[in-house]
Amino acid sequence: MEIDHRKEESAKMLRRCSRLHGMREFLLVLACLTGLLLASQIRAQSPSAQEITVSAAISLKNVFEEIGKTFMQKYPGTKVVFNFGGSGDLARQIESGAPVDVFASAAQKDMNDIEKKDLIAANSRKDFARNGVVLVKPANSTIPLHTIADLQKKAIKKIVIGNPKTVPAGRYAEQALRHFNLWDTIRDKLVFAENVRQALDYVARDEVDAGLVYSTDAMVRSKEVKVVMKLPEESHQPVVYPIGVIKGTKEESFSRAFVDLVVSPEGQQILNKYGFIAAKPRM
Amino acid sequence: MEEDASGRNMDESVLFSLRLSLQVAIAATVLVVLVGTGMSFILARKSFRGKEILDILLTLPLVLPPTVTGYYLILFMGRNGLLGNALFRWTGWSIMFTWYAAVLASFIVALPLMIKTTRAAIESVDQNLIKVSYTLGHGELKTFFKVILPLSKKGIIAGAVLSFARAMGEFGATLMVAGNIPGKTNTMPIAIYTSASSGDWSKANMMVVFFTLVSAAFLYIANKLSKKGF
Amino acid sequence: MIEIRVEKDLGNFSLNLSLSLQKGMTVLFGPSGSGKTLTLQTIAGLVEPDSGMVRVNGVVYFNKKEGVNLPIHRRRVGYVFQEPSLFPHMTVFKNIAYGISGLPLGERNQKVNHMIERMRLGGLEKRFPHQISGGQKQRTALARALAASPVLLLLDEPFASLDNPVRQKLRLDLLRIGREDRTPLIFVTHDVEEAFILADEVVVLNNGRVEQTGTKEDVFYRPQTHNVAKFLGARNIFHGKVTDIRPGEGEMTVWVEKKGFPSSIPYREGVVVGDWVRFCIRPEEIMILKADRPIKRNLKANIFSGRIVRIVEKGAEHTLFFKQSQDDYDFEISISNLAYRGLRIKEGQMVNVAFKWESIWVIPEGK
Repeated sequence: MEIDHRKEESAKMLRRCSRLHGMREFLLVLACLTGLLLASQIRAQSPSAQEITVSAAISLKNVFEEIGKTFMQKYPGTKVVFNFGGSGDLARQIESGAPVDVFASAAQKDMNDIEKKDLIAANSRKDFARNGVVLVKPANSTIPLHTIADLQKKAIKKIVIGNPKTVPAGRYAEQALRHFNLWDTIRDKLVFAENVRQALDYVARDEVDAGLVYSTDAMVRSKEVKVVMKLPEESHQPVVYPIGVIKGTKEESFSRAFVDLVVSPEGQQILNKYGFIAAKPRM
Repeated sequence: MEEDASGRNMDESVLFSLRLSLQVAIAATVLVVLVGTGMSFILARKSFRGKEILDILLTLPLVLPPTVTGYYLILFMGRNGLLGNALFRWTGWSIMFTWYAAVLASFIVALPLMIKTTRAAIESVDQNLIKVSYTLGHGELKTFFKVILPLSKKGIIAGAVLSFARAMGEFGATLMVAGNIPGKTNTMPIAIYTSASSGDWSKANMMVVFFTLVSAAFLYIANKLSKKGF
Repeated sequence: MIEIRVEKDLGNFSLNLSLSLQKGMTVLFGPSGSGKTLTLQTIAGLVEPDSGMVRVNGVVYFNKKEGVNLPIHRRRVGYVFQEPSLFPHMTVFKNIAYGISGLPLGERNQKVNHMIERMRLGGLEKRFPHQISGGQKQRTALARALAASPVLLLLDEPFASLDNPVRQKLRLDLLRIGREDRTPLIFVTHDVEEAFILADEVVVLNNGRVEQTGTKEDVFYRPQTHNVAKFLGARNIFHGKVTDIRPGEGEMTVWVEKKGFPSSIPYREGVVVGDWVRFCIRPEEIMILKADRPIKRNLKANIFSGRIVRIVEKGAEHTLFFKQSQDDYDFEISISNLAYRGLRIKEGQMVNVAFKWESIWVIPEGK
């Protein structure tokens, strides 16, 4: 009995000590974190003048990066910051108020969504490129795949396309598969990617046996993926890329200048280099 | 009604996602309890070279972002991965893009939670009780099952509940290894993400409500279990 | 028969002992930190010695040279801790049955019920440890250890945390069991009274080493070292130089340096004038003389006159502090309440005291 009482006393003392100790340590950690937070803010507080943010479909990654360099050479003192992703994700971001100046998507639908919400600056929307859809397979794959119908073969276990809900390339892929009456038969083999570059990556990494991506994407990783065939144009909606300036942007003139560069002969030449086809003029 | 890529209508697909999430979480939790209890015992009671390193490796998924964990999982289990490659060559099967991958992802991220709580519970068992058990003729294994395990029950249950909750909510690593395949691997968190990304707010709302109710119900049950002195 | 020869180094403490114990109740006695618990632990296998050997009834439990170290659960050595250490998630019945779970149900129940009866635990079978008293807990712990029919039972100050009357009862229980079962028992304590009540043989430990082994009378009345005398309560231990020897009469005279008085003590073989010796006399063996009583011959030596400077009441007895020198006090004298009342002594009073010759013990020097 006596021993339990003593144990109780020492336990009480220990708790009291650790509470005080803990308090000091806690305040110290809090102070450090606050310091770090302030320090990081200080650095972030130095904006470069004339910076524009361009949200672009991820299939435009390589080509727009080059166009961006050209733009910054043309207009010294400006900075172009890119935000690449699936067109659907990007559209949602803009709708939610993301501070974006220019938007380029891989399908009319996503730009339409933005336009419907009255988020595009007047007369700034232009079509600037077209693309093709290709069927690809991993470069090292030994599975015989020569036409899109071969996708029904048993040897083809997994096929990747973009998520039709959010990715334009996925929608085009679904259209094409339905066009060839393959959608219902190969549906079980489908794996969805969050954007077309992820789809490309799955094929390149040999995680899947085949995939449907843009012809420009296949060019970027030509060593890791092999093009089986180019889908005929009538099998899917035309792949047209629109671009537009977002309403209310602080850098309206530079944003419009960027769009102008993209549709200019200089910009078009760069797009060509990466495999994009010229857009038909919009009505 | 509108159909998703698996051919289900909205209600069916929501129910499917819920069922899949529960299935994955339960499977992952069972694995976590078995492996976690064993690992906790080894870490609590044994000393050997490399114990520190093992401890750190097992705790890493707790502090790494789920996407980093997902990355490592792809590295190991992808079709071209360190282990996945051998598996594919032997059986022609890959774990990627299957619901087993979701179980694996949940298992890896929940394991450290289980080990932390269970190990503490095992370590808090009175050493004298273990010594007494030995003197009464029971070896290490028997003592574990007859003395240590019963006295660590609370910790094990707490760990299991935490693990289940973590598994239900797993998103980042799961997306990377199981992918987002409607009707196959779109657990609820993934399905909610997809719906929100595509602006399908009504579907997202429905799933969020379902998910919250189910999670709250599980928490309630777990609380009741731990109070009863189960 | 238990043979132990172990060495264990624990940084700032080292155990180094060699013991041979017979059946019956052996008490391991010594101050805190003397290595009593550590010794028990090496026998049970809870601690592995650095070197040496442990053998019980011919079975080698540990032998460093031959690399033998029998795991704890195969040694069949019962152990009762100071804290009862009952399994909190099992009833009293299940606790006692724990060590014999391999037996067929009928036999097991019979054994457990038998133990319950022996340890006076009837009616408590279905209770849990937190529902019974400290004494009942220790009886259960004892029953649990004994039910497994150990070849040897070790007890580490098992009654230390119990109330006195409970402790007395449990000691008697233990003595009874020792006689009935004939299981050898090793009992650790630092309580002199407990050691005296229980021991057949006493091993006195100090600082990891054996100071003396022997019967309780041996260590009590004939301590072989200064430490043993101290531990066993011989409160009057003197250190002096031999000034005169009379071997023919079996006497020698010693000058107690610190106190400044001479004393006549029994002669020891081999001692010469100039040697230093230590001797002691227990407090209860010093007599207070009534002034008018005639003084017998063998009390002529070692009669001292002085003052009683302090009287301490100890419940059943009184301790008087006697002073004749410049020191705080010289002798501690213990007398029963009865004697005290008869003598009617007050603090400050002048008295004559004398050593009983047979009670003077010369401690063998050099140990």
